[in-house]
This record gives sequence, C-alpha cells and structure tokens, in this order.
Amino acid sequence: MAFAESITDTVRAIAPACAPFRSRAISKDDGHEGFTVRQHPSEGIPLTVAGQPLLRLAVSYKCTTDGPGHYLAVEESAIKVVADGQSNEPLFRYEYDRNAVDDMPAAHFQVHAHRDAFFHVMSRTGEATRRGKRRARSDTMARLDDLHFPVGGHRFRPCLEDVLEMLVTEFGIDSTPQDRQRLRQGREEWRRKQARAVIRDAPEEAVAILRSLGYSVDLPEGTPQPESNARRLRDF
Amino acid sequence: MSAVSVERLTVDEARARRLEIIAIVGEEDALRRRAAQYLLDAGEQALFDELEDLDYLLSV
Repeated sequence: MAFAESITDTVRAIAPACAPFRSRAISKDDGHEGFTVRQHPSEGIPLTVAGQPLLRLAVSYKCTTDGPGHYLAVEESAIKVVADGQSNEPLFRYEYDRNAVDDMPAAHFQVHAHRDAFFHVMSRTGEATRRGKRRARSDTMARLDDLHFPVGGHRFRPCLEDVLEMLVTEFGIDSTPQDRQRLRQGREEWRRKQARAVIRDAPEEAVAILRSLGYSVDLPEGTPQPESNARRLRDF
Repeated sequence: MSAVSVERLTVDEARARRLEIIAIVGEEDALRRRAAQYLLDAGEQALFDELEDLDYLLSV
C-alpha cells in the first residue's frame, strides 16, 4: 500500500489529476508475499503540454520481499511512454528485471523507431552472439527495440523520478519548480535506499570508505564476516 | 482524491480469476501475440494487464 501511494504521489508531480495506482497482492501458505502496482486507467496516464495531452504514461511494478526477508524488492518494473492519440506502441520504455538472463541488462531502456541507420547497422551484426544469430536468422526486419541499452544494473538503475524529469525537460510536460523539487527529493530518497542495498552487496567497500572517513568499524568477535554479493555486482 | 486500492487474493481466487479472464478473451496465445504488437484496445489491455499480474502473483 505504501509503495503504491508513493508511486502515485511521484507521478502526480507531473500529472496532478492522476488516478491512484492500483495494487494486487497475494500471500501464500509458505509465507511468501508478492504484489503488483499499476497505473489506472490501463491505456495510460495522460501527460500534457500547455494543458493539451501529448503523451501517456504506463507504469507497472512486480514486487516481493528480498532474500533476507526484511526488505521490499522490485522483481520487475516497466515505465512506458506512448504518444497520445497515436498507436499504442510506446515511443520508448524503461524496464527492469531482477532475474534477467545474463546477456540482458537488468535495467534498460528501449526506443521504438525504425530509423534507416539503425537498420543498416543491425543487419550487419553477424552471428558471433546469441542476439546476432537470432537477428541474422529471423524472417522479420530488425527493429530498433531489439536493442537493450544498459542503464546501471540492479542497483544503479534510473528511478521513476528520472523518467518524469526527462519528460519535463525533453517534452515540456507541464510542471512547476516546486514539482521539480519534489522529483529531486524523491530521487535522493531512492538513491539513498539503493546506497543501503549496495552496501549490503559489498560491505567491505562500506567498511573501507567509513574507515577512510575516520569511523571506527569493527565486527564483534566471533561474528562471521558478511560476504559480498558478487553476482549482483557483476550482473549486466 | 481517492486512495490507493489494494486487491488481496488467495491462490485459489487468483487461479479462478485467471480462468475467468481466459474465458472472456478466448485464445490466450492470440491475446499475447496481439499484446506484443500493441494491438489491444483499452478493455483488452486491462484484461491482459490483470492476466500478467495474476501470472506473476501465482509464481511468487
């Protein structure tokens, strides 16, 4: 509930009339819990320029508790921007998949366009990689949205506030300086949360930095050394 | 402004609702193909979104 309220509040920075996000939740007998959060209506939240709809925004999250069982974890997220009144196909989308395959960046954005230059390059990627092979052997034309641009992996992915601020700066979506400030505050809160997650991934780095800053940091005698989550640090 | 709504489901309720959606849309594969091509109307998109959510929740 709190997470859905937070997302609703964030989007209202550029869409004050945005309907509350909706959540579905399930609790299983073994104690696992999952929930989803989605915008309403399903066709997307209207975003305006000078009061006139220009874009629509669709946002969805799939969440659960993380490994230690103490923190909410986003398993998948998708932020899609669509041209209002045009095709339902997005202009672009930001996505995150906690369980992405090893040659897919966990956090990425995809641009939907059919530019000649991209087609020219993508038709010449050879068969040295799995993606290149699939493209070379496909009967359909290569698409720009086949490309997955890395944007920071599990811990450093863009947040919703990043996308919303980009919509303001690139597309002129209506907002006030106060709205922009709210977005920046939200971004800071997000990054602080992610900083804590990064420290869990690499506690020895946190210890080294804290010591360099003058802190005294020691494990109580007999306490096992926490391990790094190297996989998280290396994942694309 | 109205508050966030949370729909809480049991596993059985999620499975039952999934069957209801499939009964409404007909062939699931066809729906997924059309969704991948962004050809769904607003009503179909709402059902597809719900189907996606239920599949995820049942997999947790």
